[in-house]
Amino acid sequence: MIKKIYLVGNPNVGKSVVFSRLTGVQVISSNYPGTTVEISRGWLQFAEKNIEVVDLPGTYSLEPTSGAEETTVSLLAELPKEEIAVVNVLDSTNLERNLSLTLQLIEKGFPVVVCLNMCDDAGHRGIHIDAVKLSELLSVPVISTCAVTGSGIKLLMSKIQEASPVARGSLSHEARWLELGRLIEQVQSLEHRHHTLRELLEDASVRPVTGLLMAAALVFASFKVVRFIGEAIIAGITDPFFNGIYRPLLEKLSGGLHEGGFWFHLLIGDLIGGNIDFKQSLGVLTTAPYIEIGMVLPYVIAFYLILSLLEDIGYLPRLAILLDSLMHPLGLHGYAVIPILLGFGCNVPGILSTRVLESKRERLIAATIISIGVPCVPLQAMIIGLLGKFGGWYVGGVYLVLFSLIIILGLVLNRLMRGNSPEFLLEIPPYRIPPASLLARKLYFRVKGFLLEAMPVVLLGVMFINVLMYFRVFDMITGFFAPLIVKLFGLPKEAIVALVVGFLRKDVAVGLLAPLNMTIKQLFIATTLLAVSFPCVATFFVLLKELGLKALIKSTLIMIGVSVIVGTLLNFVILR
Amino acid sequence: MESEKTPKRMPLTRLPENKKAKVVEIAGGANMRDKLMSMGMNEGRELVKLSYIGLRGPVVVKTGRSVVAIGYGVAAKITVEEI
Repeated sequence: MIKKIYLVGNPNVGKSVVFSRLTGVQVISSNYPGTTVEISRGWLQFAEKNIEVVDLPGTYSLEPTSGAEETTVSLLAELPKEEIAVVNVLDSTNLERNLSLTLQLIEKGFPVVVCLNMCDDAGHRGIHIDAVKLSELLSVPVISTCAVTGSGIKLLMSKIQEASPVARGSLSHEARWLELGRLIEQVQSLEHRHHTLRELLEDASVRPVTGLLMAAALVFASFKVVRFIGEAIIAGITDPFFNGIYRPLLEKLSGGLHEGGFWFHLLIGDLIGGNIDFKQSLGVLTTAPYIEIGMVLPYVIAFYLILSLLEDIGYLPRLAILLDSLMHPLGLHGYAVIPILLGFGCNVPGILSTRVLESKRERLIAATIISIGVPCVPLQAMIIGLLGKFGGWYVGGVYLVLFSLIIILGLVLNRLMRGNSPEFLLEIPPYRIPPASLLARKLYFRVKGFLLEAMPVVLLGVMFINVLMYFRVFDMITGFFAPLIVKLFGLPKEAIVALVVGFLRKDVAVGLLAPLNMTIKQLFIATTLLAVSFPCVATFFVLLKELGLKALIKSTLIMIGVSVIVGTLLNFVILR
Repeated sequence: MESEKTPKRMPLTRLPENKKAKVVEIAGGANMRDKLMSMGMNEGRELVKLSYIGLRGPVVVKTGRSVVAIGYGVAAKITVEEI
């Protein structure tokens, strides 16, 4: 009796899409190797029973050569072979290499069902695979699927119970490749195709001149489009909602409360010039929802739309190739651009995806760089919200400081830490045009994730701050840190509250900085410090989980050091 | 005449772009060898070098149906024979 179903296959063959189709559990899938860094589990209704389905990270072989492969091999050994079924997902456009793992799985005695995925893409490329013949030759069920559209998935489900071990002798590596050649000749036929536009673009994007031009154009266009979409949502949807519908409601409510009383202070906050100011009032019902929905959410939507598009087209590995040689002096290789880019959305998934990097050393460098130098969307929205009205130079200035920090930190950490950076080795996926439905699902999944994580923290955070302010608890903290803040950084002593609160979530802090009436220099320093000092509490926990306590302490000491140095330098040297 | 010219051997990094070659030797650590082999890069395999990005960046090759980017350091340890 089957107790568990494992999805096994080479990297980037669409295991996660098959997983979502089988279980209905949404997981992030992209067009590059190594999207799945955590093992996802879901349930499949099967012969009136629920069976657990496990989505494993991609692996090229069952001889463990990397962390992901070791995980796969050890998980497959958890249960006796009679109690599991292995759904081996293959990329039909690259049958030969994919079948190597299939043969290994069968040789090791696993009950295998072969899922020839991306069969529509293979058809477009003039690749025809005889699934019936392949099934005969391998003696296991073979089903053609296109998981993105869902075709073939029902058939796959019904064939899983037919999986049973097949007697097949173990082959040496060379013998297996010869055997593969024989198999391929019998089941695959190729139509000759001329170079397509897609192939021309694929080539151009990894050549020095055209590649750099394309990268520069894409990065520039992405920034522009994210800002454009974000601003359009704010101007067209959220601001009209907050000012036209929400404000009158709040004004009715505040009329019923006593200004200066506890509840008024908690829910509405302070009136600015006799009115509710969504950015500064700092009430649970005013500033808290406005920050998350009116300032951050529009950019979250815009950012993840563009990121998802670049991910699914398959551009990111090409960017990694272009940047590889520039990353080596920082102790990283090109593939680190993927965690770093994810970090621009939210540091948490960015740090999680450093698992695609091989060594502990690389992961520590990448995670530290991300948590200090990479501003997440909420933080960027705050930087723009606080400094945008003084002009692009100030906003650009904060980014320049962060960028310099990434470079300096990388150079220094690479020098100080023992070991050297491992080499780049990566399979480059073909460009694919993602179906809009897949993009929409991914965007919905990410935006929902953002709201579920951010809203409770912001609401509770603002409530907590208001209670503490009402009872004047912060006065103690401000008194204690006053010398540091005032003398070294040149900031009003109340700014420390914002920096401390920034530990909860960066975007909550804006409501505390905005009402302080700081000069533009002070505001610039405070915003920069907010960006470089401690990451938010969620990032902190993920650093602890991924790197361990010792590395977290190292990383934290670096952060404190960097904040003090940057604040002091900005105050005394750069902005004199 | 000299019909049996000795084939030219060179590291993958020196192979000109768009040229076809056969892998003759993969030097370097066992771990890297295993990884390359499992991705379909073993001795005797044919490949086409697609591009080299410059500045000691990766070399991009096509082998079978896969396109693989290989870091400069590793590519220097792969000996190929132009065909």
